[in-house]
Amino acid sequence: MSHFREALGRFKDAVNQEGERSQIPSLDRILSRDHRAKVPRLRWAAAAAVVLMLAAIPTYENVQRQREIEQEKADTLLMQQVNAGLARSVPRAMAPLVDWAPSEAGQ
Amino acid sequence: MESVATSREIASMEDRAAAIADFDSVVRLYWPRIFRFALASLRDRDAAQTVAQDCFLKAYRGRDRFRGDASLLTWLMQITVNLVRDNARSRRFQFWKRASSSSIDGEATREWIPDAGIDPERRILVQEQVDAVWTATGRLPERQRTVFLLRYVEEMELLEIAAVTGLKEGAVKVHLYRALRSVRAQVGRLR
Repeated sequence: MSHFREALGRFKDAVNQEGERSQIPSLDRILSRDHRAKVPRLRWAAAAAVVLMLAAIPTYENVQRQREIEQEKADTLLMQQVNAGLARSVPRAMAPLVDWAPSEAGQ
Repeated sequence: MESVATSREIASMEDRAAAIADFDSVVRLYWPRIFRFALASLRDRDAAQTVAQDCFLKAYRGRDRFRGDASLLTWLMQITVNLVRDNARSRRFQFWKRASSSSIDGEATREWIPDAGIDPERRILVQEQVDAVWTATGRLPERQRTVFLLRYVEEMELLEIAAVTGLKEGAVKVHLYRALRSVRAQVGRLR
């Protein structure tokens, strides 16, 4: 038991001695860490922003492509409607008469 | 009006200067204790230096929030224990840094033994004792080691340790008992 206490005491003295021997930095030097710590943080923030931008590019391109496809579909539909309109033999307003005329002739 | 603002500014500058001057003495007074606790906890000189500096930086930044409920040492130790824990966690993922030149093994602690008044034979015995306790504390789980060091190196009371670690007094006793049993078993093998 006394051997253990002695060992603990020696350990404490050795650690204390090492603490006393360490060089105490000035407050200015400690405070300069604050500035140095901010620089990597800014770098990390910039890097994160670049990564986010790079990640957003495919999404942006997908959205653009989707819009183009929808626009193409709308254009095609409109063209079909226009073509259908041009292909009429009679104006739309006269169409019921045309429908009616053959059945009349058939009688 | 302008002269009032100016005198306020001067007073504020004087306050800050006084605080900085005071804090300089706080660093001088408590650095050895904070550094040695970080060193014994992390077993790496560079990491201990970083933690000790960060501790005083945090304390300086938060000095307005120090309410004086606990002693200044308790407050600084609270900060240090948290920083040591964060540092130990981050080092778990930085395995390549474990074998850094600043890490301390049992052999390195032999330089810590004072030369004065110890004959060579006695010195070897002391070295073995320090080495054994150092190695044994290194094998303790983090919380047990913290409690052990606060009790036997920093000589803090159980309630102080509870305040520093955020544990209940009963939990401190349990960790201390386990740590002590483990260290004693390993040091006992020396004989």
